[in-house]
Amino acid sequence: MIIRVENLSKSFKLKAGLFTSGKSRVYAVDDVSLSVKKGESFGIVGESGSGKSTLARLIAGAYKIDSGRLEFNLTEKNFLFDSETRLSKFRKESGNRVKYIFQDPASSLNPRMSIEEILFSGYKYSGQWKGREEARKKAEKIFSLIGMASNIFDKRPSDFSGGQRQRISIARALMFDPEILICDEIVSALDLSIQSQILNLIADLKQELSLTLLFISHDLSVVSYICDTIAVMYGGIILELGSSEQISTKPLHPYTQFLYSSMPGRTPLFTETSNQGLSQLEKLHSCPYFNRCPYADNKCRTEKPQLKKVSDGREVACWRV
Amino acid sequence: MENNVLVEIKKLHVTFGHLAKPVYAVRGVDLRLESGQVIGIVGESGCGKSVTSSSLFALDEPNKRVSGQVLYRGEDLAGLSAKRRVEYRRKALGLVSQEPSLSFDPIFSIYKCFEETFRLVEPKISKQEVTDRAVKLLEMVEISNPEQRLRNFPHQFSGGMLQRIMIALSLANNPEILVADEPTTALDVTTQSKIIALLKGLQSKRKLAMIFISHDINLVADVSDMIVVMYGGIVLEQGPKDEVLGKTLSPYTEDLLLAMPKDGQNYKQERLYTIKGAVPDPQNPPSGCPYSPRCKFAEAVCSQKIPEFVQAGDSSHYYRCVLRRHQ
Repeated sequence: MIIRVENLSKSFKLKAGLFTSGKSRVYAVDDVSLSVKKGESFGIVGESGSGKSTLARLIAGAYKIDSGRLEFNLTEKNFLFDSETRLSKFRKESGNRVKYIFQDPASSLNPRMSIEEILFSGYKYSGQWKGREEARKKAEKIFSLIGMASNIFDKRPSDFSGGQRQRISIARALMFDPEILICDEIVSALDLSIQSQILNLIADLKQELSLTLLFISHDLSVVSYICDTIAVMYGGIILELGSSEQISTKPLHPYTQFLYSSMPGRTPLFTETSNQGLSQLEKLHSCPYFNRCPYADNKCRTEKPQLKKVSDGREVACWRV
Repeated sequence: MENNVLVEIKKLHVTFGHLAKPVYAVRGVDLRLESGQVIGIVGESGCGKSVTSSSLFALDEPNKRVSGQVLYRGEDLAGLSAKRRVEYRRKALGLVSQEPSLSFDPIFSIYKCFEETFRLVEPKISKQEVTDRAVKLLEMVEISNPEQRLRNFPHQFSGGMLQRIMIALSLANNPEILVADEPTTALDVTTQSKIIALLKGLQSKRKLAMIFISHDINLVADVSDMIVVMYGGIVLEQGPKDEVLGKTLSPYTEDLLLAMPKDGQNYKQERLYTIKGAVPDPQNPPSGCPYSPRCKFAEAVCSQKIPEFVQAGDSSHYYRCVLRRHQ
């Protein structure tokens, strides 16, 4: 297990500022546990507000953990992080090996920086820095790997198309020889004809550099293609976990069933009883989906379901399964 | 038959920006919309799908240059007086745009939005009537407690609900034509399927003519009768949806369908089909067929001139491809 997440929770203050009480909070990720095998590509799907990006950012060390533990077993060292760990330590220890690729290449690359500056600005301070010459050699190697010309150091992001910018974004992450790559909606800002190029590239890179992928997307067909395992998140918890084939062909949780049958060209399996999810301003004491679920009974309203193992590698959080 | 034609777009060319180096957004589009018909336009960003549909609104923008005709019931929109054109927009057209949360003014309550919309057509409408009609419209788009919800402001609604309200607003003055420009792109899959079901229901109940724009060909096929595939400012293929999806004639449509990950496909077994290269730059569109630099079948002829729009047999299925014709 390269990543082990145990009972991870994170909530945010709704209002910022010195004089706010901090009492009203949004519970973004609520008691989530999962583990990712080395070399696996692990997908997280869910709608907006389901906590999928918060979970990814917690794993990337962007936020302090509220409670729970985060364990990394990398080839060189192992780390353990909990709510006591300071963010700076977190980043120092894991930062170079866990890299994050952002959604929109147009806004995640600084338009005023040259490609060289973009690639080296973080790398310079990483401890892997062995001078500019070495770094350029390394970058050139990465360029050939991702299918870019090697003489682009002096160009700027505006000289490139959307797909090429996303490749540069990937190159920036690869500079650090990461072991874990977190891809947060990396193809949703791209056109369909470019999307398949980037997905193939990610699959190739994973193979060649033996990466572990954490792939987040709301596009179900993309996630089913690129992932081995899929976790379906809703309202801050994981509702279902299984191999990509199992989840897409035989979903067990009513939400997953509804989600997959809502894809364009299919007919939804049932009508939801409400169009809106529960408010996330309170801590969860029920199934997060009960008010939309046509099968919900009293237990769903009063008790929060935990992930239960139903078969090998398959877990569902539902009182009915 | 002729009477059924609501809108006819003839040889539409639209360019933007500086005269010396214009952006060629639309380069010759012909389109006919009949009453009650749903046309779906598919294409990637910059292909001209939104510009084509917005030509229906006949808006004058500072650096936009239009040539060609847009006829509404046989009347050229460019020839209408400014007053008549405004009247046409208010009465005949409805628009549902992409990002619901950005399309509402945050300081206007939902009631205000409806009041303003009704007043465009009936300046003297009473408050009571605004409320009554707005409540009916909100009920139609399945918003619960419409009376109370009218007093709410946009931030008190979710994206899906705002999109429902936008649909209600666009239908407030009983338009004949609804333009839905990527209405569900900003929404989740589950919300998307509900909004699409609502749109389809309203369309068939009110016999609306609709132009549905999306980059998702599956979604377009779900909604429309006719599919128009655009690329680089021109239409590459157009026809009834079963024909376009089942008997694809344009290599671009074929590649688009192939490049999508399909059910049961996984990276471990097979690679995705890729289209090489990138979308053309609208400032220097390729000469000839815009898809020719990326097309796997391309030959020298393809880059010489834009291929003619050819009818496939005697059906209403049209395509532009020089090579297909030779086969």
